[in-house]
Amino acid sequence: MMKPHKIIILFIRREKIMRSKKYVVSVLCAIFIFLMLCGGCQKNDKDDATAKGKEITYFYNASNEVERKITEEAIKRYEKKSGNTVKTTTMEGESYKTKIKTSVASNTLPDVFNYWTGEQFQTIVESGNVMDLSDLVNADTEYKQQFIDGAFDEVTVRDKVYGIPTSVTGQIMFFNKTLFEKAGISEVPSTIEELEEACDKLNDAGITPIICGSKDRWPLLGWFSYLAVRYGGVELYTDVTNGKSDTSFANPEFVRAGKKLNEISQKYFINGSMAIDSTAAPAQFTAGQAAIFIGGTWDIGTFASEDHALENIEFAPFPAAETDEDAVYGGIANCMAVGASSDKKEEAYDLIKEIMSVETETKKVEETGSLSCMKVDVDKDKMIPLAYDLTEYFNKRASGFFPYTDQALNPEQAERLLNAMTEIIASPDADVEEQLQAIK
Amino acid sequence: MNSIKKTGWILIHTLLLIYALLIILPIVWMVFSSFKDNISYLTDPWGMPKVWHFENYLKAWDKGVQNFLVNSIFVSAITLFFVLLFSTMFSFMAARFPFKGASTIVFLFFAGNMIPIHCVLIPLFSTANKVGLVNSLWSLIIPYIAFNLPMAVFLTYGHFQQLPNELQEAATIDGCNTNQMFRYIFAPLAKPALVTVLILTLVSVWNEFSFALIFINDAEKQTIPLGLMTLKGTYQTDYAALTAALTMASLPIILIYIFMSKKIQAGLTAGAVKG
Amino acid sequence: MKNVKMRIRLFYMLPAMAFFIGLVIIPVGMSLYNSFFEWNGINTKIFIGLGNFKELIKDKQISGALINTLKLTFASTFFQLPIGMVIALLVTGKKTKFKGLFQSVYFLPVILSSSIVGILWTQIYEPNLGLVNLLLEKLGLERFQHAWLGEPQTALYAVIFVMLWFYVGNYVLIYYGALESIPSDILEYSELDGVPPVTKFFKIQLPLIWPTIQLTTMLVVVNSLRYFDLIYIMTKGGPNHSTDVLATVIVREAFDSMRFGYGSAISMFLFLLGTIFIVIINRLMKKESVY
Repeated sequence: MMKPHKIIILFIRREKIMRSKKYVVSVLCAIFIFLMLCGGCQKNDKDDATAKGKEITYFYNASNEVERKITEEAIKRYEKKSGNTVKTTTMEGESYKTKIKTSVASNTLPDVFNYWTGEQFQTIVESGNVMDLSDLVNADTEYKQQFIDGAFDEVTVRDKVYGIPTSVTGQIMFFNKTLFEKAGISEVPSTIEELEEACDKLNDAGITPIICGSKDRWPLLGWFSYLAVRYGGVELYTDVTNGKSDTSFANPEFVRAGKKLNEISQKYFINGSMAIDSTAAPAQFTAGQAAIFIGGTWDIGTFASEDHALENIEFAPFPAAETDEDAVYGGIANCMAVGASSDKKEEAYDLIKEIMSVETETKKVEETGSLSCMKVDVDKDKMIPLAYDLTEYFNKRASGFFPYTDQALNPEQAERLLNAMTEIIASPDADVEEQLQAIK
Repeated sequence: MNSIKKTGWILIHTLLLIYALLIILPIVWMVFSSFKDNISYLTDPWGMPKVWHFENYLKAWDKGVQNFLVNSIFVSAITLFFVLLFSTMFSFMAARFPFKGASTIVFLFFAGNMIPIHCVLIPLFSTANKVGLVNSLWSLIIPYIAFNLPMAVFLTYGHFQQLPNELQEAATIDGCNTNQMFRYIFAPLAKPALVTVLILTLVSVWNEFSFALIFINDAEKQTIPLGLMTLKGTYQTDYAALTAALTMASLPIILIYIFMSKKIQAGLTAGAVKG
Repeated sequence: MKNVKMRIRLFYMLPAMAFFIGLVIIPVGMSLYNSFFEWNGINTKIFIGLGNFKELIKDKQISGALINTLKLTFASTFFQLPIGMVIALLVTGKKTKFKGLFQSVYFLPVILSSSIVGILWTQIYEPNLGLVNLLLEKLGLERFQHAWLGEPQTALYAVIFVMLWFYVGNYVLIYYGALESIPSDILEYSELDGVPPVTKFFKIQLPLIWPTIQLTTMLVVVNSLRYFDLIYIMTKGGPNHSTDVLATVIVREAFDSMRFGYGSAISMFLFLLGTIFIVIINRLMKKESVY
């Protein structure tokens, strides 16, 4: 039987080969054998560790480097304490969603996995794919108390607890104050009119006013939903997203928001924002390509990765309209859950407890500036100033959150909503009302 | 006359050169960008790196790019071997010893080519999971063999059909049995078709993404397409390091190809000259 | 003779058939079965007969994607193949220097992984920082600048160009091999007879490599009809569905909206479409039929 990679080499042997070529080929082959051995070595190390204890599979989506490191440290702590090993699989957002959905469809959810809360989580819970953790959680009052009030609301379906909440996130308006100064903007805009005036000044000064990762569609919701809530209030928003019977996305306030988004995108969005995705946008904002960016708490890590960028970036609440509404777009949006077919419920729960522990959360808040759903005491000096200020704002001054639109809808509706967003910014005469009607 | 010929000659070479540049330029850009840091990548994408950041490559290595490479090579090599082997065996029998319905079966194979991969993804995944064949490189190799067989069978069948009947008669007179006929006569004669099969299968397996996404969980087992896409998420801002990873994943193969290509060309023509 | 051969026959044919039936035919059967149901992958399947297919016919998303798929297929066929052929001819020309080098270079893109190509070209097409727009600016042609992947009008063509860049090398290689395998005496005679190059190509070379032409046509059509990778990486079918092809719709319906029944129905449609195309092309190109 011929060895696989030798087929090509057999072709070679039929011809006269110059010595130098043969030499190069054998060197390259040697390199590959060396690489394979290295790869094999890595695997061997892990094999030794799996000798004892149970193996727990854990899927999660790594949103940034630092967070991933902190999670892995927590995992190692768990492994030491319990003698079990954890096998992790990580990948980024969109691919991760596909992975989980296929796992659900083929009944192969791992022991522990991260997921987004909201409608989609409810769907998988109701299909019986998620383990009921009520008995463990309800008995563990000490652990429960470490969470902020209402933290478990999003993970409770029909009075049973199906997951542990992980992060509190929020989107807010970030701006580059150096660029503002350059354009002669002295005060941060606090109303939508002032925002538009500021953008005009930026345009005049040759600075791109707004950047948005429109390619991935959901960043547009940052604009639309904020406008919708500023025009119509939180209650209307909640009613529409919950599908209350006499409401629809095409109500007057939402249409107004859509039209405003259309205007703003035509006049002030960076050229070709439809080709910029949600990872390129914060990166370019950090590099000073635009002055205004509606970003999330998760983007602070990106801002911090460039040495002097943080000095220029500040945040402000999304401008107000006629109402005094200052709610923040965000909330508890993610959780960790246990797959229903897992046979290691206790171990999975303990792993979750280690990852969602005060120790890990404090570190996460300090190093990435994210918000925690646990009551943590952070050392202000350890934190990025921007992150600390943002945390203080969310905890103390904002009136509350309104949830992420695409998470509150079922997958089909969410798809239609995201679709409508791109149609709305597509051209100056987009029919906003028609687009919003299509989201049923 | 001569000046026309000469201008024609120059024109041809210019065209070829332009096209070659069009191909090399993006690749060269990729290599240079991999030495930049993030800011200069974003603000000065087309200039040369002012500071050469070799540590980007260490970062990429750290992320396991070498694993992706090795996995892709392993999967490709094994798939190639079995596709070549099985398709040749099948076509040999179907073309040289035909029976009723042989061409229908071959047509079926070829129709199988058109099947959209995503269509079979879920059923295959459920089944694979039940037999425990997920998250291993073999769980990729087996579907890859199956999906590349149709084209391979089609090509080798057509090739074998066109060989003269006298070959078999002569071989039988010389006392060959079927196996010997296959091993010493027909398999070598299939070379031209096999080279095409090799190219097509290699390209298809090397680039395959969807199956890898669904079937592979462990980071160490990822193939190049999957590995790079997961890196893209991790490297939210570190474009320079991502480009380093891209370069690391491409350069070895490019080097091997440049050295091997002469032999592959020779393989392409060898069959014809001797035939 | 044929009796003895049964065991041997099975030995030779079984591996290929086993793989094919087990991993292709059966899952396709399962997919066909699924297409008659409404199924979100989690709950139980609900039988709806031809419901998915009825919806398919009315779905605007599908008709748009179908048009794009056809555009893509035609563009690929009529650009990738002729350009591949022209370049192969140029490279095989007697007086061409650096043959080996050119060949190596032209095949390069194919060896790069599609993820690499996708990410690379997304950077090149970047509206503010990418090579294309920057080049246009340097040449003073700013008015031709576009957000190549961000504008519905340009996105599809931008993607088609990248596919061209990526795949032409494939055909250059195949045509080169075919051209080189023409016995050189035939070509020499034609030159001695003073046959001009164009006639030489159409009357001598082309007919001799017709099976290869048939093959590559089928290849390009089949691959274009079900193409997915680069489009997904570069645009995901956007903006506003302008680069949606049937394959991206299938993935979106099945995995994003979680409607596996509908996704299976669309797959069946694509499969049918492809088979029809293949049969038509086969008939059209029948000179020496390949089987």
